[in-house]
Formats: sequence, C-alpha cells, structure tokens
Amino acid sequence: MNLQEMIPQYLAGQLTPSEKTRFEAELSANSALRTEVEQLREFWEALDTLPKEQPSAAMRARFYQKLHAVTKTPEPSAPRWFARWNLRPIQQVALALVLFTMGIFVGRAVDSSRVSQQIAQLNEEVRNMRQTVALSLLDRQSASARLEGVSWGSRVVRPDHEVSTALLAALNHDTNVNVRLSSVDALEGLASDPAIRTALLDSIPTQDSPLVQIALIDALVQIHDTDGLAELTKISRDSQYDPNVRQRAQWGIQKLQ
Amino acid sequence: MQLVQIGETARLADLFERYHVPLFRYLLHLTGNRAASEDLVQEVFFRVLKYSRSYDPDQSFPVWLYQMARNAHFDHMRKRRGEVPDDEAREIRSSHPMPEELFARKQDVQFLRQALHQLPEDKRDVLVLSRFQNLRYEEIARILECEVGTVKVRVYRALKLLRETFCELRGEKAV
Repeated sequence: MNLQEMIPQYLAGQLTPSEKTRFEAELSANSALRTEVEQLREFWEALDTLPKEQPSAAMRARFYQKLHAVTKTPEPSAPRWFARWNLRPIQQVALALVLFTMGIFVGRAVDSSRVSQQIAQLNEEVRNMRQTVALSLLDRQSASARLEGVSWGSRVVRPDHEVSTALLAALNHDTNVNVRLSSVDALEGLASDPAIRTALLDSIPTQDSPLVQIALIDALVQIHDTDGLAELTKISRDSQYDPNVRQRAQWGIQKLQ
Repeated sequence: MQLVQIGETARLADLFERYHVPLFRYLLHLTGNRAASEDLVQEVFFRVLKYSRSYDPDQSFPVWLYQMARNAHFDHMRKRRGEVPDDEAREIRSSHPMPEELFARKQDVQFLRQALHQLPEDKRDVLVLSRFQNLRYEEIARILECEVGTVKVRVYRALKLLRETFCELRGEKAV
C-alpha cells in the first residue's frame, strides 16, 4: 500500500491504532509525505466550509402523505377467483342485475353504519392532514410559520409520537421565545402522557428565558404534576435562576402541596 | 428496518427521520439539483419499502440504503440522458440565502463547490461517501462493491484532483 493513499484515511481518523503509529513514524521521517499531509489536511478541513444543505419542509410533508396513502390503502388487485371467471355477456348482465338488487337491500340495512364509518374515516383523514401540516410548518425557517405549526399540532386529537416529538423539539430548541411558549401550551394538552410530563419538567433547567420557565411551572401546576415538587423546590432555592422564576416555583410548590 | 420488513410499514417514518437529511445531502452532491434530490430521497425510501423482503438483517442498513440511493440516482440519470442538459451544477444553491457571503472566503466556498461538481462522477461519489457521509472504508467498499484497497486509492486520487481543480479555479498552481 502506497503511504500517500493512506492520507485521507489518516485525516478522517479511520486508521487502526497500529496503522496510525506506523503512518506517523513514516511522517516524522519523510518530509515530502509531511508536506503533502499538511496540504491535504488544510484542504480536507476547508471542505467543512461547504454549507450543510437542508431539504425543504415540503419534502417531509410529501413523504408522510405518500406513506399514509401506502399504509392505509391496500394495493388494488382483482381477486384470483374473480379473474378466473369467464362469463358470457348475458351471464354478466344477469349477475349485474342480481348484485344490483342485492345491493339495494344490503345498502339499506348497512346505510347507517356506513355513514358512521365514513365519518370516522373523515375524522382520521382530518387528523392526519393536521399532523402533516403541523410537521411541515414546524420545520420552516420563519418563526410565524413555526408558531402556526405549534397551533396546528395542538389541534390534533391523539397526535402521533412524531408530532409530540416535534413539539418537544420546538420547546427545547426553537430560537424564538414565542414558539417555545406556544409549544408549552400545546404540550400541556398532551400531559396525560407521563413522558410528556417528564419532558416538561426536564425542560425547565435547559431554558434560557424566564418567561418560558414560568410558563412551564404554570403548566406543571395546571396538570397537577406532583412529581415535579422536588425539581420546583430545587429551582426555588437555586440563585442561578431569575428571582421571578424562583418566586413562581415557590408558588407552584404551594399549589401542588 | 426489521419491523418494516415484517410489514410494519408505518415504521418507515423512523428510518426516514433518521436518514433523510444525510441521504438528501449525498444525492444533492451527486445531482447538483435540489428538486431532483428531494424526489430521489422519496424514491429511495419507497424502494426500501418495496424491496424490504430482500434486506438481509445481517447487513448494515446504511450500506443497503446507499446502494438503493446509487441505483435510484443511476436510473434518474439514465432517464435524463435523452433530455436537453440544463447544467444542473449551476442550479445548486444553498437553501440559506448565500450564507457564505457573510464570510470573507465566500469565493473559496464557491470554487470548492464548483470543483466538486467538476469531478468525474465516480470520483465525486467515493469522495462524498468518505468525506461528507462519514462512512467507514469497509462500508464504502460494500456500497461500491469493491475492495477496501480500491476505496483508499480512489479517495486519495479524488481528493488530489479536487484540490488541483480548486487551485486552478483560484488561478493558482497546485503544488
């Protein structure tokens, strides 16, 4: 193996310990190799300046739309027994008439249950549509779009894990305080899930805005999360927190007790 | 992936969430076209679903995924062969409004990008897998179906050529 051909692997930190030791020994003895490593190292690192491109939010929305269609709709295909039937035209007409007449009777009998099924299906479609819109908006660059995304997320009945994860991501990582405040409200509605309650509690020390911290304390009181008492006590005594936050934590402790 | 394989198609969403961004960046490096790369990402994930039964659980999933991506890209290029070329490389624009303009080295970033797109496709492919996708040489060898030694040689040559092209674009002579 040519030593030069090991340079990219060396720069990527992919040589095994023994290969690395051998390569570095060569490096200290071979000035031409050393020069080449330095030139390529500089260039290798310069490649980090290329922007890290992000796909658009629309791509995610399209993917979930298609996945939803795939998971809900079975592939249309004629049953084998039907395909093997080879009926004459007159037989086909007779069969159609029989099926039509049966359809009227059966249709009357099952009409009401079908309507309720359709309503349930429509509700499910609306729910999925809201989820798709929420996820798509939460991924946008504009803060107002993300705010709207949180609002759509809060309108989803029984949201999927993905929506609650996106709302938690907004709470913990969004750069805009208003988006974080809105996500507290949205997540409060999902607090029947113990994981969400824990995440709300865990989020308080990570927030840099006292406003968001206070909103989180209010949410914990609202959902009556007594598991949060220990954390609130800690906050009320920690001088690193804003005095208003500590005061609110004190108030929260009283309410929860 | 094994859950997808046994018919839990909704779990494809987990794989999508984990891999769609690196996959998009890989395809963007290959195509130079954002819209085409997004379409290809979609295509790759639905191929994963379609061919899930052929996935061997002992095999690394990223290796299998990148093989699918290369095949999808190959099919895309084959379909495009009859079309009038539109110099896709020119179309690769950052989704962020030229953040490099904020830096004094904006010109270098542009040259780097240009040099990368001037590389022959096989060289660009191996370099992107190694430098930007952080794959190990053993994984790259399995994706490209070649020896690890071949990957080493190809990455080195691609990196050298990229540097030379970059220096030429800058009006310098590569040492």
